[in-house]
Amino acid sequence: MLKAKELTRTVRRRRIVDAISFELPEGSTATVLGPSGSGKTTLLRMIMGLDLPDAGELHLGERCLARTGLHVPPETRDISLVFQEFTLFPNLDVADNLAFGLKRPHAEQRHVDDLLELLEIAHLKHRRIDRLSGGEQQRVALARALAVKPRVLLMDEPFSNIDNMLRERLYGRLRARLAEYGMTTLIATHDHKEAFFFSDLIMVMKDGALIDHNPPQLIYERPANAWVAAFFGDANAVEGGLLATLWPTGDWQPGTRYLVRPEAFDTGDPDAADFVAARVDNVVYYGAHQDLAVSLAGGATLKVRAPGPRRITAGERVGIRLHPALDPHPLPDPA
Amino acid sequence: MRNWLSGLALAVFAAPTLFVLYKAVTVPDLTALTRFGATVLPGYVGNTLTLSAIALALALLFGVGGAFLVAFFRFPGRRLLDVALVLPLMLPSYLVAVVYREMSHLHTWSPAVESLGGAAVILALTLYPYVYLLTRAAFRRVAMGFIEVGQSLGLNRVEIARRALLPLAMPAIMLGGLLVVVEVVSDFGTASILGVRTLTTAVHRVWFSMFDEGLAAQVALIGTLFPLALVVLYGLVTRGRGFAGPSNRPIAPRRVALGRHAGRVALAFCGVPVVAGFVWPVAIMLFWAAGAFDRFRLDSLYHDLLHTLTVAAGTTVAAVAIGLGLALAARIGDRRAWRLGTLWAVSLNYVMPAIVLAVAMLFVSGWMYGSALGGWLVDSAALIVFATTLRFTAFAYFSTENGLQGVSTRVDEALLCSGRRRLSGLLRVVLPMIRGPVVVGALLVFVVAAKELTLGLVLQPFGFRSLAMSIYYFADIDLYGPAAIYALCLVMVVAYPVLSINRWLGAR
Repeated sequence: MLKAKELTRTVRRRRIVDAISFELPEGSTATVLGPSGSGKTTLLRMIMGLDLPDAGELHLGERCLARTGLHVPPETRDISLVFQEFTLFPNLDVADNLAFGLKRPHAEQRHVDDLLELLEIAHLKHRRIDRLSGGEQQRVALARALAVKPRVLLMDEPFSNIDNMLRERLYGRLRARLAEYGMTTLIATHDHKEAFFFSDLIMVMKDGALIDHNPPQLIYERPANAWVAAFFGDANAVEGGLLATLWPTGDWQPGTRYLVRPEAFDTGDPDAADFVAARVDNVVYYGAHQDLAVSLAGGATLKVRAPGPRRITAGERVGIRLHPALDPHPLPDPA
Repeated sequence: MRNWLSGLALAVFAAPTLFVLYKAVTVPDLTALTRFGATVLPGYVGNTLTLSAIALALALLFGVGGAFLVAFFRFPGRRLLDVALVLPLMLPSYLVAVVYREMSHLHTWSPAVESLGGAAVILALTLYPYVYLLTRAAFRRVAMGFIEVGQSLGLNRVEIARRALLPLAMPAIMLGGLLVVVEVVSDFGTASILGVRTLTTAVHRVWFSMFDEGLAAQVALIGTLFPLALVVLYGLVTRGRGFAGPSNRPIAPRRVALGRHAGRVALAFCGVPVVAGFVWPVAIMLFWAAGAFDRFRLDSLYHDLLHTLTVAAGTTVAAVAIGLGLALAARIGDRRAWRLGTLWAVSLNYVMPAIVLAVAMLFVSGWMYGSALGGWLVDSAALIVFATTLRFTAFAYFSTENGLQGVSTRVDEALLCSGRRRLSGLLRVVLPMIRGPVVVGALLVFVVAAKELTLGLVLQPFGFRSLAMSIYYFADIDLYGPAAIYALCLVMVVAYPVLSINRWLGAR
């Protein structure tokens, strides 16, 4: 288990990482999510041992890696980090970069070849680093960290330079391989799709603090606050009184704000019995679905997601209703 | 117009090499060379190679070792040594040779330096800062990111240094080594003061004692071959080497504290070349100068200082303008052949021994003497400035070119898209981006031009003396007091530029 307790780092009187605590079970995959500058990279660097915490403790299994007066050197932690900047050795080719951390590179040649295949860079095996594209360099950096089979793998924005199609192919394979190796994995990203795909646990950071951590479904449906809700996609923070007026069957508490995601609405005939009529102010078409901004009779506005095939146009009247299976969740604090 | 000007500049730069080549191949018969080759030439070649090899080995030891210690470790005196290790660059090699030669004459405890080994040690002591500066800059540019990757892959610092840092810094180390070899092969002052016969002293003898231009050119070409081979080797080894990743976000290396014993060893290792190459010679010169100061005429010093500043500043302005112009023209033209031609034309004048360039200049001035321009060239310091510019533009050009390589060609494309003319865009946007390398190139040119002896000795007009020349003349007639005063004045002239180079290449 990787366990952090009150990990803190201050640089020039600014708390880059602010008393973060978490526990990652052996073999689990977690994601640190947050906007740029939220402290994700610094957290990973502290776990790797490249930056020292000012306070707090870090344990890997029974072994304490860091606490006041103790700092286990990075090279002996059995942790590996995929750097955001790749940091490949330009004097070595792809294969030699992969073999760089191996104790017996010749004996582990098959392992290296296997990783090259996994990440679709086998054809680049003897290519010089400066002849690779950004996406190819990123995959080499990923393969190099995997090659040493660390107990904990840290990845800092590991897919940021890889195109969408390839990325989706790699996600599945990589997840299976991480499970096969039994590696505990922590990924820093700002892409919530990536987080949902990989994570057993999602940790959300803002201004150096861990503001929410939960499994993916919980964090989406019951975020800690409106900021987290908005970070994971469009969200309506709707007042309970308004919901009670529109859909009286629900158990809404006036004065409480509820999180209602746009996909929680159905669209239909505005004159049908269980639909509320609304006017479409704006439409953004995404192919599979379209996002609508609608105004209700009382002036309230909502974000609604409608299926793609039947095009809706601005100015049109549509009917909306809450999906019958909706389980309302209050938002703890206002946006 | 731009191409025409650049072409003219390249033709002027290539002329000395072509002249020497012409002189060497148009010799009517090869009897002199054959006789020379059968008698003394092997000894000269052997001496030059041995001198270069020993000086190179020692310069690499001091330069790379010093850079490695101050870049990655914490020990008593590290901050001071970070600057002090560059100080020997202020002293011309021949000056240090004079000090050690005289000390060995006066005191039995002082080591005898009038030998090949002695000359090699002295040259290494004054030239290792080239290796030190370049290696330290390379370590600082690439170090931390790669150290962190190595650590994250489970490697210890020794393995990281052996497998990553040294190979990554190799182009810089090789370039520093190349500069050392070029300076050693080109050296005339140290070798002649210590009585070591090298190819450069041979060219001097053949030309000025035997008056045999053809043989001098042939010997000079042989002398050029060794550094030339190293230039080709350097090009092959470093071809296409780029740095991926951390160079974009340099992080200061986190230094490892050395234990008490190891710290003392590191202090001693870095202190030896500083003391032997700077502190001790300067202390001796101060002692000599103090004894001679009351009998000294300041007005002659003032004139020599003025001449030195004129040559150094004139060379700097010309070399930077030409170097910048050629580097920008090569970037705009973006033709491989043009770039390669510029590279060779500029570097050959530095690679060939200075004496050869001086001889080529003599020929040119003799040829032009009847004309007004020729007369002006010969009777003023212009010929020396012209020669030193031809020789040292390499520093300005390569420094600028190195800076330009760090600026993405996307910047040029963005300039084109903005509708601005490319040259004006480059001057407005790119020039400020390469300010550091241009300044470093200018400072280097100033320092080497101020210290340059050979070209001045051969090309001096009547009544013209620089500080370097006066030091040589005074030392030659055993007047060490005045020589020391001139030498200390020269040290003061180059002190600020040397310390600035250190700051630019170290801190920024």
